[in-house]
Amino acid sequence: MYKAHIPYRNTVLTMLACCGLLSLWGNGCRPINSPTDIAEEVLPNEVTITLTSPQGNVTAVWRSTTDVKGTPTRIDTLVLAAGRTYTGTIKAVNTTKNPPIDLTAEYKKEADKHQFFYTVSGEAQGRVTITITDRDKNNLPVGLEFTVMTTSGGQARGALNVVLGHYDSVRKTGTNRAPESDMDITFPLVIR
Amino acid sequence: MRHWWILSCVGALVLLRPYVGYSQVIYGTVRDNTTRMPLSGVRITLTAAQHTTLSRSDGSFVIRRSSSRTLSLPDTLYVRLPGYQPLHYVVRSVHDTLTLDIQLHTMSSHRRDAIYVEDTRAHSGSIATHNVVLIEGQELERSRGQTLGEALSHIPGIALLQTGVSIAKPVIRGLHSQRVVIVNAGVVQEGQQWGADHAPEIDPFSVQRIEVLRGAAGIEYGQGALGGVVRVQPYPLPHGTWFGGTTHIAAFSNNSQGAFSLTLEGGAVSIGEAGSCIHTFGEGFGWRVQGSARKAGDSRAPHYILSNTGFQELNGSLALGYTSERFTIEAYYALFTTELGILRGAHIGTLNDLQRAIEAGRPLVEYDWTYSIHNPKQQITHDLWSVHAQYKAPLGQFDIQYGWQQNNRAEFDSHNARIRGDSGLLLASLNRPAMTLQLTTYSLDTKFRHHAFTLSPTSIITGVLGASVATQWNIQGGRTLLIPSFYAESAGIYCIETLTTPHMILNAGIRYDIRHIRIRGSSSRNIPDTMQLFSGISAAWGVRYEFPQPTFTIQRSTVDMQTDTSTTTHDKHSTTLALNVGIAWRAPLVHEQFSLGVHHGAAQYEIGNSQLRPERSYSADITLSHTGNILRMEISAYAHAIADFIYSRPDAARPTVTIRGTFPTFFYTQTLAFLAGSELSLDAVLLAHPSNNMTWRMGGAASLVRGINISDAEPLIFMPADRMRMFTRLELPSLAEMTDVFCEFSSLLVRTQDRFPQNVDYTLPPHGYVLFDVSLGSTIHAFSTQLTWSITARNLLDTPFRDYLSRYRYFADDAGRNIIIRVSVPFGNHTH
Repeated sequence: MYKAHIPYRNTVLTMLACCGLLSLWGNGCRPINSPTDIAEEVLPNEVTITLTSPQGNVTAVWRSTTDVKGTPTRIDTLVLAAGRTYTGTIKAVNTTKNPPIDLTAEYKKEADKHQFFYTVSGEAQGRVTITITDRDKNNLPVGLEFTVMTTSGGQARGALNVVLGHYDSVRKTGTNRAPESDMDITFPLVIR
Repeated sequence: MRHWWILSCVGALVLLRPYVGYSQVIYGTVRDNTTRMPLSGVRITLTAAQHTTLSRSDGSFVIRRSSSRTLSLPDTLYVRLPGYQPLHYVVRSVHDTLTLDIQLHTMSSHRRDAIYVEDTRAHSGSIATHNVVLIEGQELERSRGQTLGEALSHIPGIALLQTGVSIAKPVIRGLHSQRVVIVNAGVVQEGQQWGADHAPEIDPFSVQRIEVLRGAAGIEYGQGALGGVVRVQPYPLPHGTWFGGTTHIAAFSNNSQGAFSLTLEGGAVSIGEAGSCIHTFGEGFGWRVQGSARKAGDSRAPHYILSNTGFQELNGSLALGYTSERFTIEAYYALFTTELGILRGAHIGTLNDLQRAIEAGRPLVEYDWTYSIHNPKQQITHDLWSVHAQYKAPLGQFDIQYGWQQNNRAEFDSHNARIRGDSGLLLASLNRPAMTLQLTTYSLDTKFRHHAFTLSPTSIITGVLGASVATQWNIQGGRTLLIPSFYAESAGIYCIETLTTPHMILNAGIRYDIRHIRIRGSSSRNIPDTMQLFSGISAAWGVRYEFPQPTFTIQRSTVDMQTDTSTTTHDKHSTTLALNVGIAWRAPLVHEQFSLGVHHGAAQYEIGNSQLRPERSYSADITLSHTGNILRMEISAYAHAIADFIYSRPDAARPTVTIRGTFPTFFYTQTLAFLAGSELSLDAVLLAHPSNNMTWRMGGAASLVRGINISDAEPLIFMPADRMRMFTRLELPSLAEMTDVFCEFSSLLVRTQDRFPQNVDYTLPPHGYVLFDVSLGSTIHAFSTQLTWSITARNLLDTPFRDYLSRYRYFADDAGRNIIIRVSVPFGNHTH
């Protein structure tokens, strides 16, 4: 029978050693990132709507335990008086961080990338008019400042939905909704 | 020893009077079919006897009965040399001496038929009784430049879970991701397989051969292989006096993609006159260097651009090996790097955004066409090292395979970071990944294949004893916590024995696995440090019966040697029936246990369950296949019950209210799942012109899967829709300066999936669709080389469609018409 002679026995051993070394290099020289970079994404967990009028002020808070993944712990009802005009502001804060992070400033700084949408539904629909008063550098609405007008009449219940559109994939036109939203929360609403 | 005088014999079957003589010898010479030059370094393996020999410089080889080994027949003789079409003979009997004059055809001169099912007699182990689908050669060429998944998509029983054209993973008989094992160059691929948008990190250009085993294969691959196994292999290294390689170029019209690959390989170097070799350097050594690049811009759906779906990939691999008669060692390194965009319109923040995107019926974000990739995107690198050594001891063959791999995945969100300070910091944070995952795996697999025990002149027992250990850790970084970091150790031992008789193979195997996992807790996520231990037994039993065929007794001197099992001769018919049953299991994965939150694009709030138990699978599978001159056919049916099947169940009563709106809540839970289905494939020669050998063939493949969640009495979600592929093909062996001329027209018919759980998905499954493809190609012999080319039009009519398993189906149509040009040029020479 044909016998294969191994003329390079030493070469085989050298190669084995090389392979071993190479695999060690593979293990040893790879930096393994330490998991020090772990931090949750920063989104607001507390949104406050403040409405002021000469006759009295209204404040409503929407708060969840942590930020985006938290469950709501407090959702106030917006109690509005009929036939009145309020000046409103909205404030978004992450209170889970120490110190808390006020994200309202971010939205203001990037006003041309953000727009709030306020939608009233239920019986109160048609009784409440919300008009955005602040403008970004392109003279388009932002929604951090607005007015709320209620018509006179009897008691009505409903809800106010607040959506914060984020425009980094499409251009903001003032009327278009962003394909991505940073916030989508709903306050119960009552007109008295 | 010289055997030039031996009479030539050419044929796949050597059917001689059964006789076990005292002096059993197989002599042979191997030559190039065109140049008639003897080929050295050709690997000739008698598979059941596990005896491999290499042809010498005059092309000759001898396989002889030795004191420790009887040539137990039937057995399969494999003849392989890189750059040449491998040969596969079934040796039925050896009458004293058998002499073979083997002629190898160069790789490109013989086109492969459509997917065929190989007689797996050659494999020992649990797959010996399975019908393994093999893709190589021409069949693999037609998906060159595309993802690995694309190469598998024509196999009946396989569908693709796709996220655009750049991410595709196989769904085998309704199961995917963590339930399918992918083996790359002998090492089980360890990436972040659990994610639906995480594709296998394998360079499709480095693959020369894909074996797909549909159904549970827990014995050789351990826990996890419930759905099936995909083995991808580079060719064996050249060990002759050979230097050569292959270039591939492919261009795609749809996404303006270019793909390029170059392979160089070589073996020993001889100096001297051919036939009277004077000196050979590096005999037994072989090496290969391979690199590939792919770059694509945005894909185009029929009516719009799929913005930010481009990708760029750069891959390479390196292999070095040494083979002697008894000892083989090979080292392999592969690097895979990719950067790929995620469809911009699929990035949403709230459930309402998703509903608006679905209502719009087309992406809400569309940019001008571009090659550039923006956030959201993924960057992945995968490094794989493996060293494989094999030693043929008197008692059997030892195999040891060491693997090290590291998967680095970085996902960049379009915006999710609110950093106090100036917007420069915000911009900087967008250039850092929102999430990184680094998975490192060490594995060591040892195997001992004992020599065949002879029970009678015609029956033998072969077997494998194996043990494997692996350690693995995952490190999570970035601002978004998806899964906690963990450290896992696993070990398994197994044994498979196979009885081979002339008409039957019987197979039984058992395996025990243990997996220990330590999970790093997270205070912000309320995950405590956790330690878990899972263990379980897998077992498999199979039988494969070959129906007796009318046999032809052909004199040794006139045996017509056919080159391959796939090419047919007038005396080649084979009908087999295979039955396999098995139990297997899978430990729950970290994301199933500890998910908490919304993964962007999914718009569902997933909550893991740390109390999950392992899944246990019970499966049965029956396959009838026929390979003949005119007809090739395979019918399979299977039933698969999975106890404690892990899935996420929606809880409509408890939606999750977050600052980003209200999301449906999904809890990971377990149920009894039942999957059943069937596959049929058919390939028939309708017309064969006697004079110019023109053939007209027609065929098709159909697959059905039904998945039922028994506990909840509803269908399982995301089961592939019923599908059927049909083709008609005209082939001309030669035309002017061209060979292997073909023209193929095929269609894919996919039904609407009408079995799905109610009120879970955001929208109904998309409508069924019909796509047409046409393809044309040949091999041109010119400039002393062979250039193989093809032009393919996929989705010829530019039909808008959405597949049920496409993750972009809520947002956009799948890609439209794609015209693909492929060219490959093999080159090489024996360095005489």
